[in-house]
Amino acid sequence: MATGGFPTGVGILYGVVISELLGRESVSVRELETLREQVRDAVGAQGDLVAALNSLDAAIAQRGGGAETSVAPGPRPPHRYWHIGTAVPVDAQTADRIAERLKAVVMDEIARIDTGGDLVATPLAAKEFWGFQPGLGGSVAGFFISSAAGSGGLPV
Amino acid sequence: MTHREAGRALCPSARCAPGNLLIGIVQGDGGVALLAEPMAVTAQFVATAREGRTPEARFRFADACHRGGCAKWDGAGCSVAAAARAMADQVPAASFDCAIRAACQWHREYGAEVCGTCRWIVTERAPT
Repeated sequence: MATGGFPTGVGILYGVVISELLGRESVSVRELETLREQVRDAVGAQGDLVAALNSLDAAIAQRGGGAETSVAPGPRPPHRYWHIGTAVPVDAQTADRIAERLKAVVMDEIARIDTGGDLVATPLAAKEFWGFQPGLGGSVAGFFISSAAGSGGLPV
Repeated sequence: MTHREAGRALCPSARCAPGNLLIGIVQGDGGVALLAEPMAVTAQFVATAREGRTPEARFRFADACHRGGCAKWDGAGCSVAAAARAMADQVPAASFDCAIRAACQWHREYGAEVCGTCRWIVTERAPT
């Protein structure tokens, strides 16, 4: 928080004014229009405040100050997939088709997941590995346990 | 006979093939996050998964245990499960749900002893 202040003139908290006005039972259209004009003027007079704030941030950072505020959006938080059920009245066949299509989309997205987790050291990687030979074909697992730190272990 | 038929044990380290079950997703720390419910692998899933690195390096699948028909079968049991059990002391004890535990061949052979290690098993390592 800034310790000093700069002259900013008299400011009207338009949010409060608008809220109060809209809360009145008897308010004329004319009054609303007048307020709209006033607010538009006030907003217009400020120019591009977001850009100005970004410039301030940059200038403060250049001078070794802390980047306390930033208008630019930060990194997006990790997503979690939620299947939101909406109570839409449909027949059973339609519901089945929706479920099938949703499932297909979900499976397709899952199929693209690649965390690279097979290439990191794990608790097992710290130990000498037991390697299994590939090329067994069919549905038989060809390898057992691999990691960057643990490859090339003892064949079993 | 399919793995869905009663009494058939499941191999928890199978290939990415249509009809098999997707049971886990390899996480960034190398551990496997198990699905609360296995998902049947479709031909479309296989096709999409093969567009990337080896699916068996990124996911865990289950299929029917082929017992003597598998090169990993040592005559009495699964040699992979035996190796996994032998390394059980290498992993921290953890309790987690597994959707196929009741039918898992490894679990049938060694019980919960093998489960902790199983969570760190990646079926195959893909080239970078």
